[in-house]
Amino acid sequence: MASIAPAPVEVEEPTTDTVTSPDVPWIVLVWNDPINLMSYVTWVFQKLFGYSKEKAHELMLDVHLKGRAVVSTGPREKAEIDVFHLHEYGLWATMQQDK
Amino acid sequence: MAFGRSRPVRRNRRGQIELNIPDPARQVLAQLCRELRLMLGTDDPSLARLFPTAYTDDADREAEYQILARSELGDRRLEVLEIIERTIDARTLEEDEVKAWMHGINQLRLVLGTQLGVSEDEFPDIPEGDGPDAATWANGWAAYEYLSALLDAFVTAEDP
Repeated sequence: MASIAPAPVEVEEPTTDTVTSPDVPWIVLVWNDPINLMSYVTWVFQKLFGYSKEKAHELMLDVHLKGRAVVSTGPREKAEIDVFHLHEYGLWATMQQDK
Repeated sequence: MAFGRSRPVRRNRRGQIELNIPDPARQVLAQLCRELRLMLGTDDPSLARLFPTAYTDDADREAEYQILARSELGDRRLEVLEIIERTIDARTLEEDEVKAWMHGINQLRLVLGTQLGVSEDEFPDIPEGDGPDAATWANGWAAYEYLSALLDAFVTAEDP
């Protein structure tokens, strides 16, 4: 993964439905990146979401080994706040509806 | 090995975060903070990692998010750099200062890493020869590695 490239975009089926449905929860994804330290990412997950060290470590490994992990879910407003905080910590986070 | 005593960041018995950072390293850190502070607000491509994409499949919402991010996130990024500069000589840090140092150090790593071309797959391209480009690269790499060790020490001190 090149460091300057934007976060990878998931390939999705084309859809004509561009209106987001309010009932479908949003997921917050954190993507693997070559700069953020594994120890730091684990610490951020603990600090931000109150996850146990074990759970945070597991999520960090998912990000590192599988390329991404879902770190939180919820309504759009909450997801956007989570993404904002993850960005503030310097992590590569995106959000999308869990279709 | 005197690793325990020379740890750059540790929690003391009173629960405060103590900095054991040599003065020359503090000066380099302050200088990097100043440089980044002046760079924020410009459209320098090495800032890209500081303002990531939130919505990958909704251009309108992404545009709205970027307006928020550029102002609010930009303000916070500026603020943590100012806090580091203000407390650059401190021997102990308050909790909110610890957060600012960690955020600020990681910000510097994100920008330096982008400039150095750090990637997951391979070692970055190093400028050839011994000209000014090579020297700049080597200085940048040394700073990047030092900041990585410093951030890791903060994480360990925060959560042993």
